[in-house]
Amino acid sequence: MNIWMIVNGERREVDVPPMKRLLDTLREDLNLTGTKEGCGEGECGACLVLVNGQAVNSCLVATGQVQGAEIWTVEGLASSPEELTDLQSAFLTYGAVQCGFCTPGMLMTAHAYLRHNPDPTRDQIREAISGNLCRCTGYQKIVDAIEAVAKRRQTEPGEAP
Amino acid sequence: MKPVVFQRASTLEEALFLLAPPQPEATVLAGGTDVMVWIRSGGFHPARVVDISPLRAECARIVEREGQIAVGALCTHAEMASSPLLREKLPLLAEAAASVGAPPIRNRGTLGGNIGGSSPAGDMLPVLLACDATVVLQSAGETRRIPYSRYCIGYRKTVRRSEELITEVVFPLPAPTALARWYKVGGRRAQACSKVNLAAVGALDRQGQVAFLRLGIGSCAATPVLMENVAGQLVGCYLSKEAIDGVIPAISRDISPIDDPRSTARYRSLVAQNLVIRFLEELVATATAT
Repeated sequence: MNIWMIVNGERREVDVPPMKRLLDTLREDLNLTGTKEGCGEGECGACLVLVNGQAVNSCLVATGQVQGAEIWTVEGLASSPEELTDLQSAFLTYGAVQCGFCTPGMLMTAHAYLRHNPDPTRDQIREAISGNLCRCTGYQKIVDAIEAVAKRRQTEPGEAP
Repeated sequence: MKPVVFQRASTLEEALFLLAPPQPEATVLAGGTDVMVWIRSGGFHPARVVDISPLRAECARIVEREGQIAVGALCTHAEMASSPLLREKLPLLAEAAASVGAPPIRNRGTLGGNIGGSSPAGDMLPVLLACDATVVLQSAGETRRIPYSRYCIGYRKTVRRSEELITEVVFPLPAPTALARWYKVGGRRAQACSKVNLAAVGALDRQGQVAFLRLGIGSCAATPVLMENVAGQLVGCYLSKEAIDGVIPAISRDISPIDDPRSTARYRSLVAQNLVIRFLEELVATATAT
């Protein structure tokens, strides 16, 4: 089945079985391997991408369901490998990345959440990332990074992507 | 293996046509939080999938109508949790929806999907029982309205016919004096499949006797259960300490929990007792306070 979608701002077309998971289409057909497979059953959030602005687990979406949809993956965050977003930089600065496997999903969750709630409490950040498992950091540093970005954007408006 | 036939319905009419005979039975796909997992686990090979996610314009509304709240089957848990109308008029449903999974699951999983799968642990289902909600089933030929208390008739077995689509759920508004509570016990706060869940709605009359009591409990039998033995014993009675303690045998008659990877029958029985008693005590405390 021919399926077109807007991926990271560009129109892309693929010819895949419609029940192929969006996760696999992104990784295998569009070569966007930033999106990871963890559990494959919607528990861990490693495959989290934005579909029409909503944070979803791409392992639970059939490619046939996203005909014409707008999709953002972790590759769409930075404009170039040298110019990270404030969120990506904060993950590095605060040590929020260890093995890195959860990082793309965490970044996409945080990216979407901060647009919805630009001034969250730490508890709200914890709730927001509750669908993303991290087995390395113990979450503190991830919450620190997201909180720092929110605070900085509050004091330096205009910085937000 | 033969490739899956995938059909995307763009309107309700088209969906009902695609489900109607003589077409072979199809699996209905919406948020995919169950279906995609069943397929990946390898035990489920649907021959035909009908994607109803484009039907949101017709089947994702939450409206008040003639003293009832109608919730479209394609409403996601996130939409139910944040709906101003539900939070005002039916907070029990909003609260239960907010306790499901985590944000990305709540962004995809739908009310209709929770009912279609009718897992004994489905978090929306005890709420449907406690509120005496009715499931609206549409097919090309007719519309059936079935109270959820008669909808799920065995382990993941429901009265839905293959040509029918769950389009809406209708909730009578609870009496303004009623106390409604949602309790969920799981292994952790997020992404937890319930070990026991309980939706409870009840009220005392002016004399302090139980005027009505509806308790829906999940993960304690092959289906979600309306606790009729408990209600039968307590309606019309004063909730004395003796009356509350005396309800434990009725709780045991209402449920038939099992051991499974999530919990044990013994633990579930104890939690079910504790939750029911907690609700009854809250009912007394609330009535005394007002």
